[in-house]
Amino acid sequence: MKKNQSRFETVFVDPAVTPQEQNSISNTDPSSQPTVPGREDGAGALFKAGVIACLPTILGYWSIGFACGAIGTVSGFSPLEIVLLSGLLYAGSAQFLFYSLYAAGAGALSIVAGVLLINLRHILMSSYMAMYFQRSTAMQKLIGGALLTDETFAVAVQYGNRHGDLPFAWLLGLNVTAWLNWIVANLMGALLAAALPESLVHGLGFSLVSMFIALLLMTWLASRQRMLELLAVAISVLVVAVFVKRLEANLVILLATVSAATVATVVLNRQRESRGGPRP
Amino acid sequence: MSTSGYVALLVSALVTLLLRVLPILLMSRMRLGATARSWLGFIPASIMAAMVAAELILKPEWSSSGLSISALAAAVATVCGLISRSLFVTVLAGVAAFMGLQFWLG
Repeated sequence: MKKNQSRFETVFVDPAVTPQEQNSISNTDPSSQPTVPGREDGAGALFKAGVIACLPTILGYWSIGFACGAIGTVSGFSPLEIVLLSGLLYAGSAQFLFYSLYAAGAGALSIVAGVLLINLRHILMSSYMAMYFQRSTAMQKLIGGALLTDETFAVAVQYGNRHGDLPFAWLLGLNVTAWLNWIVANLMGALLAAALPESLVHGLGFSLVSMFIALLLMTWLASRQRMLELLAVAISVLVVAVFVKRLEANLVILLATVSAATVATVVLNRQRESRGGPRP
Repeated sequence: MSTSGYVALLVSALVTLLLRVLPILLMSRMRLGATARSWLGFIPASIMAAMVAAELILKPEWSSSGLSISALAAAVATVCGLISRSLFVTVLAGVAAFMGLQFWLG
């Protein structure tokens, strides 16, 4: 673990994090435990910490999953089919798209193309996560990647930033909790579709935006280079604002992310050069 | 669902799985340079900012007087998040603000 930490220290470990900040995310710090993460009794504690880390996102999963399941029923899908979709596809926006395209009589090819487009952003997330899987087994990489969502990504990023490591047991706790909650929320939405007041579902829908704001803020607060992160955020928002109504939204998100990260990196490299060598 | 529906579901799930797993499988074997690591380090904040911006611009909720309820609720969530530094408080504040504003201004 020590070896693994030093490898990413320059970018991913934030020594400036205060104890107060650490407590706000998770009370379990694996570096303070003598056991190796993912082995022996440490794995159980890490799994539990992963489950706890998932809790703040549950409201988001429930509101969106609820709405998603309800729309599935309204679109003519059976509860079993809705459970299959949420378990196998496991992506809110892609499920919404699937229901509406299928109900509109679209062919399999256009449905798959739509799902591919809407989930393209996961490539960037998965690329980022790869850093933490260098010493993992193929099975761990498969399971860790398969259950990657916007929310689990953002929560895992925070943990990784703080600890410089992402123990598989912790990630599994986070992922399995999110996945099961998503499936149950979809099923409940599917079964209770008719009974739900529309305004409530609509209002809860905003929890998705709130959650991403929250996750973005926590990522930013834990960052060691807040000015550059702020620059990246500003560029990303600007690119979205300019292009989101002219191009397909998911492509714009990719374009915004790539340009923001690129500009921020160029500025960072210039800063490093002007300081002459590695940062203190 | 028809047979083609199930085919669409299975292929969609497989495509999504590949998008999520392949970069981890391929890139975890690489040793990236400092610039590549810095670049990836900016991905989380950039991608979340882009998703929030896209949501706010594409699904605005207007009050009768022409104020953007979603933008106001987002601002409330941001302020609460900066003060509380808690995910839970931020999410609850955002949803409460959205529903409250919808009720009072909508």
